[in-house]
Amino acid sequence: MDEELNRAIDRALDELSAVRPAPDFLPRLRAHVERAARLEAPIRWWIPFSASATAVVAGVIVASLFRAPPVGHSTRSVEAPAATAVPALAPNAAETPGLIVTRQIAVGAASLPRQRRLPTVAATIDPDAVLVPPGQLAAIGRLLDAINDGDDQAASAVRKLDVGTAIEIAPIQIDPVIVPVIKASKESSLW
Amino acid sequence: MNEWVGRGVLGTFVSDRAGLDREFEARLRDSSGLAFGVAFGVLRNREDAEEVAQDAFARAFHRFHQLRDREAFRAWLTRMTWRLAIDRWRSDRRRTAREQATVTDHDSINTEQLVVDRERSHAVWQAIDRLPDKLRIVLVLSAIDGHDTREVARLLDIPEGTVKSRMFVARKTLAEQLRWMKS
Repeated sequence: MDEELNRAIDRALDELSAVRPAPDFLPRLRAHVERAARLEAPIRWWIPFSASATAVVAGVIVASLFRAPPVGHSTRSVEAPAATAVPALAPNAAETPGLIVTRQIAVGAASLPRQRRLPTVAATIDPDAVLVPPGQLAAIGRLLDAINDGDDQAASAVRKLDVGTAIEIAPIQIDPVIVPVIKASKESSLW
Repeated sequence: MNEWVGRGVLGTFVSDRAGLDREFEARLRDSSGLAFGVAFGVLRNREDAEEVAQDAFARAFHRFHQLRDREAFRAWLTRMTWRLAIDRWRSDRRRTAREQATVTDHDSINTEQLVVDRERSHAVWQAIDRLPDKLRIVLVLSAIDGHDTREVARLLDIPEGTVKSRMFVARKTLAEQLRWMKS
């Protein structure tokens, strides 16, 4: 490389080492950093503040989502007066409160979503309410429908009922099933 | 240093930050010339270089607690300053009034020689500006504070051999670009 060219490059680069910042550069540099730190300080306070506020709001939302549904929604049917629930049975309501109340539970429960229905009814059931086994619920429903439709026979049967008296139903007789005897084969085998 | 820490906003921070501020103050004193030199090597304007160095230190202060290896502060600051300076250099259209600082002895040469030297220096810097960043930063850092190859390698976190080869390639490229000077 040409010496003269080399010297020109060196001379240009030497300018860098010769140039110094202004005498007041260091104080100004400190002031600049101070100013930048001062501007950043409120931001640092806002970060935890906004983060905690967001966490609180999120917590409230999550708590409201996982909280049990209002008691009044499912107990309204249990605690409702029988006359209001089934107007057609108003004259006989006092005689058959358990049936009417149970019917009301079944109707109310059927209209509720499955996930919310079961625990709420179990937790808020009225101790005086008459519980009906699930297998008999459909039969009672048909009985009430017949009464509401004006079936005198059904209404008179209900009137004859004494509260606390068991109803006897004649047992169903099922003839024995005849199963033909199958002779085992000596030649065939499953294995 | 105590005056700086006690009087400034940095000193009013919580107590666990006081040590950090004192350490940063020491780094600031030690490396302010380096940041200015790096910025000036790119911008070649004193005011612009000072502004970039200030911005680099402000940024370094904000992130100083994230720096694991405190001994690498100068290399970290160099890279930060270089990036800021390059960004400014590329976007700044007011570079027409560049400061041409010369170390030549003005008394021993005549005005004509001074003009020739300035023209040559200007041409050399134009050629340096055209170099790739990898070659350019090696040249600039080697010209600041008398950094040797080892120090430049430490600042750039590259092997010394790489610094030497880049220096050679940079000078060779400059010579090719400035061949017209010989005539």
